[in-house]
Amino acid sequence: MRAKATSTIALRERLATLLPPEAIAPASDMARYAVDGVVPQAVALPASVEQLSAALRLANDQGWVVAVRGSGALMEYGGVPKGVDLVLGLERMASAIDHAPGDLTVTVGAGVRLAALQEALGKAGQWLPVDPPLAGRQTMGGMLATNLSGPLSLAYGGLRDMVIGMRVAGPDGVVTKSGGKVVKNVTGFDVGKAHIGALGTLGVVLEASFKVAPLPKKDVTLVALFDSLAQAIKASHELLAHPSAPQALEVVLMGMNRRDDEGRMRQPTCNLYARLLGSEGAMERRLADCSRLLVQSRAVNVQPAGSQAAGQTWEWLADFGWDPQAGSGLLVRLGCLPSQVGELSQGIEEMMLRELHQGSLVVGPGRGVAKVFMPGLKWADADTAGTAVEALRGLAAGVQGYAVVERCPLPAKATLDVWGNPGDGLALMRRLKEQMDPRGVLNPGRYVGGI
Amino acid sequence: MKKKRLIEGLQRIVGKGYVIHHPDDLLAYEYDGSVDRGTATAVVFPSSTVQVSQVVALAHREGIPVVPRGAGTGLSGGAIAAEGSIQIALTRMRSILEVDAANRLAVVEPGLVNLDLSTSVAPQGLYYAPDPSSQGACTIGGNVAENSGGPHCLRYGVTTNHVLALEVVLEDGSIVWIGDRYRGGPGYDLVGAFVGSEGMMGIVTKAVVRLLPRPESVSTLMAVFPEMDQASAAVSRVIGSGLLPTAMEMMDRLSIKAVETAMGYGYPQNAGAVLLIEVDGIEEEVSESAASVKALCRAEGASEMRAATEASARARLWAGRKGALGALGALAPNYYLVDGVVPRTQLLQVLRRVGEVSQGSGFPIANVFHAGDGNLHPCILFDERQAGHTPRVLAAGGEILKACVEVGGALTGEHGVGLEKKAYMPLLFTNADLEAMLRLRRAFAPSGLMNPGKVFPGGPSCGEGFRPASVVKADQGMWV
Ligand SMILES: Cc1cc2nc3c(=O)[nH]c(=O)nc-3n(C[C@H](O)[C@H](O)[C@H](O)COP(=O)(O)OP(=O)(O)OC[C@H]3O[C@@H](n4cnc5c(N)ncnc54)[C@H](O)[C@@H]3O)c2cc1C
Repeated sequence: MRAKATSTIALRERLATLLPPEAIAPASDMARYAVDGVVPQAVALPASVEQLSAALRLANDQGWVVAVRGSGALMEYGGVPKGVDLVLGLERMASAIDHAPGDLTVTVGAGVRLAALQEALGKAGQWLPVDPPLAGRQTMGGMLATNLSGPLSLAYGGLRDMVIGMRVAGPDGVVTKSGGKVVKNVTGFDVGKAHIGALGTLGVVLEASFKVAPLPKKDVTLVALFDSLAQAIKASHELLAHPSAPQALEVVLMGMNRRDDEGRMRQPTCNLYARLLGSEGAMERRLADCSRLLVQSRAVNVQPAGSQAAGQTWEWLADFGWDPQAGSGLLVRLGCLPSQVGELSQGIEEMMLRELHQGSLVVGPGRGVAKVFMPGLKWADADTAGTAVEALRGLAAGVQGYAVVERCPLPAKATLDVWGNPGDGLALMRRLKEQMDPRGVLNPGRYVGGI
Repeated sequence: MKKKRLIEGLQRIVGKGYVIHHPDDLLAYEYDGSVDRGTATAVVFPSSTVQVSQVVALAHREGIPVVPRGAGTGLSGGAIAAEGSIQIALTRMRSILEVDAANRLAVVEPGLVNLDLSTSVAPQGLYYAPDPSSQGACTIGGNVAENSGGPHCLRYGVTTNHVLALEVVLEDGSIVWIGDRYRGGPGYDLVGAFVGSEGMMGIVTKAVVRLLPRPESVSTLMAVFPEMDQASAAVSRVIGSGLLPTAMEMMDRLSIKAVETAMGYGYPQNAGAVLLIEVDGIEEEVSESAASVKALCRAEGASEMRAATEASARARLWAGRKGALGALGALAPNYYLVDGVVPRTQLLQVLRRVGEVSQGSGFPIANVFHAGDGNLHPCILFDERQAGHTPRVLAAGGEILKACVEVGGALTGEHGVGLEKKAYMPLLFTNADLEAMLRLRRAFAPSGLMNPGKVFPGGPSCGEGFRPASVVKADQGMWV
């Protein structure tokens, strides 16, 4: 399907006929825009929808492979691209935030950083209740394309539950909208849903409208220490079944297979973090309920976290495995029904102990998610990574779940199917891709089933 | 294919007793809850996914359109048969196949009546949140197709927020599962793209839906306002204050009068508007929120407030709201129910505009609606026996929809586009927007035989074969 790639010079020259010089990155910058080590031939940095459409149209006509980029924070997500001719960076796009506080809605451009949006909403006592990885850096477009949700999705749902309208540029540069700015709307098909989590393979998200929420009056975090992961997950389910259930709840098993200075194996620590968000009047009782349940469920120690420590903890949890300071490594997200998370995470723990893999595990028992991060460069080796991913997929299959590789160092990553089997719907997904991107120019090879 | 052979083929699949094809018998299936009608060649009543698949495959081979149908309560004509089509009624497939209380989900067949799901899982302390006012009759399959809402969707979201996975029969008869029992797995959100497709992308044969735990405590408040403007302002105040009511429903002067006349409910005769507000959660939270709501309503000029937390007392507060549509039947032989949606801060402005449309057209218009999410339901009262009234009523409805779009709203908040509003779609969407929606449809249903002629402009639309919308009796558990 892909036309024979034009030479780099010709490609840049063609772009220069459509875009002003400042919208084309200098040739010396190409390495900075590489996607999983694949260096593009050119980078367009449009500052308007018109420029973006023009660049897309040209790429589509020429059959150039396009990779869309927000801040670049999460570019590692997805499979290694088969090739990239043109990177389309959205960082220069207009960054309007149109907030309607009385309607609890906001419309925001794809290039706006999530942190900037939260700041604007915060001034009116509102927020978008999301906590994806690297929230401080990622743009709205990147957030929608990757759809990596965090601990808050337990209570607030995912982006799919908050987006009420979207504007998207198709590969031919044609801009279309779906939905609108009202919180309840069934006018026309919900095309926007298809773009959430599509990694830019169906179109380039330009703008989205969201339902937002009032900032909770109280935000309190309880920390409970447990002797074992199994015990902590059991306690989680007790909490989650109670009317006083927290809005976010994550269990962390830290530092597996680490040795102390004398070379002795250290015990990993297991903490449960429960975040209660809500009104003033109910907080006292909710805290008491949760603390009591935790103690009854054999927590070794339960105490509220100071607000600064709590903030850092939740940021750490959201960024788990993605924090650049953690270095490279293998980050895998596994998911299944909440009731089977205990079995799944126990399997992961046993596997890591058996294989002596160092790393940590973050489990969201209510969300049905377990994330494992194993740092180190050994994961650049294809066999090592492949064996571990296969083992994790086996564990996921045992609970009818899935395992997605969120990060893996090169070159191992190029040998992996990072997504795994998306199930029965794959044929429909391919048909959707054919309909929306008939020439296959948008991010080919990076999505499920090689889409 | 000759009609006789077609009927025989269908009978072989679903059994002789489950194919209706005699013109007299087909009459009952010409309608849904809307104003349109159309006649199918046959209506079939399959009892399993395999039967649905075989019927659809047969139709596909013969190039015959199929039209899925639930309870037929749809208000935009989605289930109205295309000429010569086979209508597939899913009402025999009404089982709850599985309830997984630990994971708070249920697997159900599409013909299951919405309310029956909540009733059956009540002993486990669970319920199904989307509660269309027609929930005593409408089906889960119809809800998925329309992405239906309901009064309590203000806090808990509409159907799409509660559907996890679907078994779907595609136009060629193939059976496919989309989605998972949990969210977050790899791949496009096919379920999200499918919900709200108005029966045009495939037939739902099973649905995995989320269940919610019943709240510990619920408080219902009724606030009476001398003027509609004050009630609208109260809605904005409550929403803006950071409270999250589960429902906020409004009735205007005319509806109140109708309810008073029919049921003697005890509202002040001169009341301009009644607001019903519900909050739920744990006890402490509910009493705190209820107190704030009361204070805000008083500040906006509420002349009277009633509150209840006990189930039967709450039901009494809701009775007037739920009986409103039935009561309006006493004021005029026919009504046309319009469904529009606006940003909630625009409620006041649009309600004034609705008043102007009423004056300009000469038809009384009552407003009974989901105020909290800006979802209007102006109800235009008329008598279709009066020559020329029907088209004028439809035109008045069009005026209201235009007013909604002008203030940044949309054409339908919950009833769907169907036949009724497809001609209005260009008010909101460009050809390119519509083309993108068609691409989505073509991924699922390339031939266009799946419920053709709806949603997209062109072809026969509303008003051809307009029939009097009969008043749905309140005792059927139906209200809007
Ligand atoms: C008095 C009254 C009050 C109402 N109140 C509300 C309300 O509060 N909120 C709201 O949202 N709606 C409301 N409605 C509208 C209506 O009840 C909903 O749209 C409902 O979801 C329709 O369900 P149904 O089973 O009757 O579907 P039908 O009317 O039979 O069909 C509706 C659409 O769904 C399609 N369909 C049906 N079953 C399937 C299936 N299994 N697979 C694929 N497509 C299918 C049909 O082709 C059609 O396009 C109300 C209607 C009435 C009459």
